[in-house]
Amino acid sequence: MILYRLAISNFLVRKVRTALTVGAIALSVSLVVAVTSGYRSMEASALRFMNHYMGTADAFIYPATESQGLVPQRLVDLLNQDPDVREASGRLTSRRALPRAPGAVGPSRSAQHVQAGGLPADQINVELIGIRRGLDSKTESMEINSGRWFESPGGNFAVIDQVAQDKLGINIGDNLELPGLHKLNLKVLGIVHKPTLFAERWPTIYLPIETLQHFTDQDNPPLVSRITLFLKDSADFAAFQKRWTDRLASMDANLRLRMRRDTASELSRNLRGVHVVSYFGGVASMVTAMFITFSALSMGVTERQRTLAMLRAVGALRSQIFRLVILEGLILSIAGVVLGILAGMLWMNLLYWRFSQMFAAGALYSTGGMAFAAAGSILTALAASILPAWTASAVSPLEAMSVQGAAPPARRPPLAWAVGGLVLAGADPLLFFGPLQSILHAFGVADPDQTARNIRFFGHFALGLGGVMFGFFLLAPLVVWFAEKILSPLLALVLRLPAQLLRQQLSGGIWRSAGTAAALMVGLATLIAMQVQGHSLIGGWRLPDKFPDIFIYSADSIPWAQQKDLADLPVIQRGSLLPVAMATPLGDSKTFLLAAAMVGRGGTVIFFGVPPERAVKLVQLEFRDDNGQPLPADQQAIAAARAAAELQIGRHIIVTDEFRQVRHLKVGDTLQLFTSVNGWQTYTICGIVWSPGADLVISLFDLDRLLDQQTAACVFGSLDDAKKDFGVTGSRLFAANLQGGIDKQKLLKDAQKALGDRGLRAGDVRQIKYAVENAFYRLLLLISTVAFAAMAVASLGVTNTVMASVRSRRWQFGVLRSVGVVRSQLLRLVLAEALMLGLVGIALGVGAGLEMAVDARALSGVVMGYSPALVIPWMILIIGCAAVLAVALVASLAPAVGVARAQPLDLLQAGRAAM
Amino acid sequence: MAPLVVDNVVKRFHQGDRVITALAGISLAVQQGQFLAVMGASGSGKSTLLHLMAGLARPNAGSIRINGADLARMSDKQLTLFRRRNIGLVFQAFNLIPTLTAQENVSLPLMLDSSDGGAVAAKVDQLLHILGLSDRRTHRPDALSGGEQQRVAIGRALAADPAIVLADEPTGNLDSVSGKSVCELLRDLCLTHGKTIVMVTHEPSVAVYAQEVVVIRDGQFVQRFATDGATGQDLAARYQESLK
Repeated sequence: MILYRLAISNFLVRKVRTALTVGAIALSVSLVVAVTSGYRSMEASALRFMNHYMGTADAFIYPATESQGLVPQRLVDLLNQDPDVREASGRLTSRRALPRAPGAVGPSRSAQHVQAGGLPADQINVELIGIRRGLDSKTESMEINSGRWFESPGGNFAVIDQVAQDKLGINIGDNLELPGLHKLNLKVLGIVHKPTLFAERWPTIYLPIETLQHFTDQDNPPLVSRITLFLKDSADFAAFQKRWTDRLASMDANLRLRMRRDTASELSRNLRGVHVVSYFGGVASMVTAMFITFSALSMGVTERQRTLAMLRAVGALRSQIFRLVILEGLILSIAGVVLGILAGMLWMNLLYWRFSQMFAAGALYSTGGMAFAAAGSILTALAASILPAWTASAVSPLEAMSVQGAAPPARRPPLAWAVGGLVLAGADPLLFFGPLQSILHAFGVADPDQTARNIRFFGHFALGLGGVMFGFFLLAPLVVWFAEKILSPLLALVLRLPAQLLRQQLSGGIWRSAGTAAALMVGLATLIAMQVQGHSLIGGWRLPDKFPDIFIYSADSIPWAQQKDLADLPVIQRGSLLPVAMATPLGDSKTFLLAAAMVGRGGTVIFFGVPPERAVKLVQLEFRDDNGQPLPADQQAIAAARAAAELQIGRHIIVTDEFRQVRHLKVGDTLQLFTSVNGWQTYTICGIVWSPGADLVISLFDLDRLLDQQTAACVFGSLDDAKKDFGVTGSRLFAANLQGGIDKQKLLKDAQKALGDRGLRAGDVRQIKYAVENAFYRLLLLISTVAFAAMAVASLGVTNTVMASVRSRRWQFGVLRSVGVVRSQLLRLVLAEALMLGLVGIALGVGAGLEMAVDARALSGVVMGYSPALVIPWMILIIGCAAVLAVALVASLAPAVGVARAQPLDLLQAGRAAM
Repeated sequence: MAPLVVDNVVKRFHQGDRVITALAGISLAVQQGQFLAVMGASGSGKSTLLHLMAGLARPNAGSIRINGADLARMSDKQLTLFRRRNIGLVFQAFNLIPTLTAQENVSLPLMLDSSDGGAVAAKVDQLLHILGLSDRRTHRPDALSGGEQQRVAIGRALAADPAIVLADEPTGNLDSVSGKSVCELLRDLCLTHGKTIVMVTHEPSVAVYAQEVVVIRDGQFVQRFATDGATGQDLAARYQESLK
């Protein structure tokens, strides 16, 4: 009870410090609660939509790759005859760009975005869905705002959703024209309502299925994109799945059956990575709050030396003093958790109020996030209080007998802690770069490589990352000591202050300073690690010198026969049209799913089929040897010609260097690919190339939605293999060189004339790269908000430290003012301390951040077998450092101004009273 | 048996390469209910002696027994608990906890021992009454005068009914009126309540309130004499005489 009373009374006396510390904890907790709750609310919206519009179906049949052909409509009739099926219905989907309504506000589009093949601001992408009313009960569950549905399977009618109505500026009774060679005029009969989150992404036009089949040339024979199945209650789902999986395989290996439970579990698996990231996003803030708590408790212990000594003198045990400080840490964290959870709920409600369309299922709170934040904060507060508690319990009772507190002793460099810090910080690099395999081998471990890989992966997360943070924290006192020795004369010179006054400014309370600098370090280190890793991942995506002028993408697959019309266009250089067929052979997925998701890669392979001779002429690939080293210039052409010749033979592939590293392959090695037509087939590697940026094209044109699984790596084979082994019936993607002076719009216009409007888009690859990189960097910056949030939390710690420092030196400041130090000098003196704290934070942050980035690169080598070259974004690093300095300076302004404005006598009296 | 026996105590300090002998074989005994003043010039070793008697430091040689218990044989924890229950300490700088009220400060040793709440309250009431602080019980140290703060500190020293009260320059931070009041209180506690008190001071005007005075110089015993109603001036003369 007395310990509780002492703790509470201590907080009451230091209200501002307590408030700032509780505020830092509360802010970090609120961030975790808001992010996890926001995520949960969005997930619930997505699941609600899926259940409402899609998920109620029991199964789906769809093509693994749309390029390999759609689903025959006759299958719908066959399925409806199955005794287990209650309802089978087919839908055909396509996409088109339509003109935006005059006056409707569109998003701003950069010139680069449009050049890269993105839509201009006056157009919107719409999804066309062909449905058969009466056989498609899903449409019944959609709320109709006004008008009515069409009932016939044919006819020129349409029902649109509310966003399409708004953006296209059309209403019931209006005519809607789908442009192209064969123009299609649809009369709008009704408006349906879809959740805004989804309708905004893809405004939808529903039309009779036969009308769309005819419009997209999918009517002979009639094809659908997907069949939705509802089974009877009495159906044996497992038996149905087995029966139809086998039957589909015998009909067309490109067709897939997916049961609802598989979809749900895959969705859950896909979301798990994001879920984990949403939790981990708050960890940086929580670690920052931990260092602030440490700093605040350290200050409390330092300031109460006499009180603690007196308590020991009158009979308080060391263990009681230890428990007193631990209790203080606990009380601070519990108060922070309570306030933080409330603030987090408030954040969530503000988000819901501002972006209600994103949260169709309402504002939901993540109890898991709250529990994580609460447990994390309490545990980190406990961790933060151990060292101050130990220091407090070591206070000698004799100190109570001295009349005045002794001046801080001249400090020697705190080497012992630094050695401990180095050991901790060195654990992660040792894990990655140490001779782990040899050690395991010496101990007789059966599979040293795999065991080393597992130890490295789990050791990094369980030990390594924490070791870096705590290691640098323990190094902080030494950095503070050095910084003070080196920086204080410089700062004194710059700020025109007597150097003696800055001599022990930080080392007088070395752990207080170390804790605050560590708090500043966390945000900067997180920012640097994220940015270096992100830039390294994308930095390796280089385009070859010789590359096609333009990529053309068609919303519908263009059969081989029709491609001649495109190739013969006068605007395209003769013989330069390069159709790119895509297929997804089934591949293994040996990488750790979570880790792969965290670095943005999935598990399988994408097969690009191209005409070899033409591809080699059009694209100058950089060929590499079996060790990943570029071949000499004089051997490049030979390697290209040999690879083209072997591709032409068939069942040969060129792989990227990333793929080589991941699979440990070399030229001449074979690879088993499961082809949709001929089952498992052996492909031989005939070349290794530097990634030619195919991933970029995939990303920009959203082509991955057409693939069955996310892709990890690309392989390049021949168009003939794509046709024979994967049954690819057409192509959506083309590369070409243009005649001189021809622009993209002219190409599109001519292509539409030749092929009809197939939702064609075209983009310059270099612009595509620019657009994708920009989008990636924007995403990276968005993710980096966790780092800036940590800096915001740290600012409270800086204020705390500077205030405590000012408070403990009021008498000294009073004396200085009395002997002629002017207000501005006092102000600069306090700001100099904040500057030094910021600089120490930067030194620690840059060190820890770069170490984490190097370790992350090594981790990607462990997880994917591929370590991208390290790219350091210096500008962002400088911005991060400047942000830390700004945080330190701004946070110290209030205490600095406060002490500068105080009267000398007040300072003297306040200082004496505190003695 | 004397509640406090100091037997041939030696205490040395290391200052760089130098060894400083603060106490060079001091012996003394304090009887039950006695009020003893230890006098000496600055650096004579009187404060060191008090620290050793309080168990705040350990002697290099010799022994200190309180109620027969040898402090040197105790572990840190045993010593702390012994101090809590058997030794009352009064500091020159009061050392009250600024965040606690007067009655909370007085009850501190009892609360550290998790004593029964009712008994603690009664004991504290009684002490505050004796100290003349009943109407100041809810005030914090910053609302009390120096004399009142030292009275609270004395109350804290008495809370656990210790075998001995050790006071280190208890009037050093007080004006003369408050100092006199504190000295009278200590004498009263000894005479009326039978408390055993050892007080370190260099002020003859303070030492005069004690029954006996021990003078030490350079860590060695010089003289022990009774005050016997002497005035401050008499005591000062005798003190000066003993130092010659």
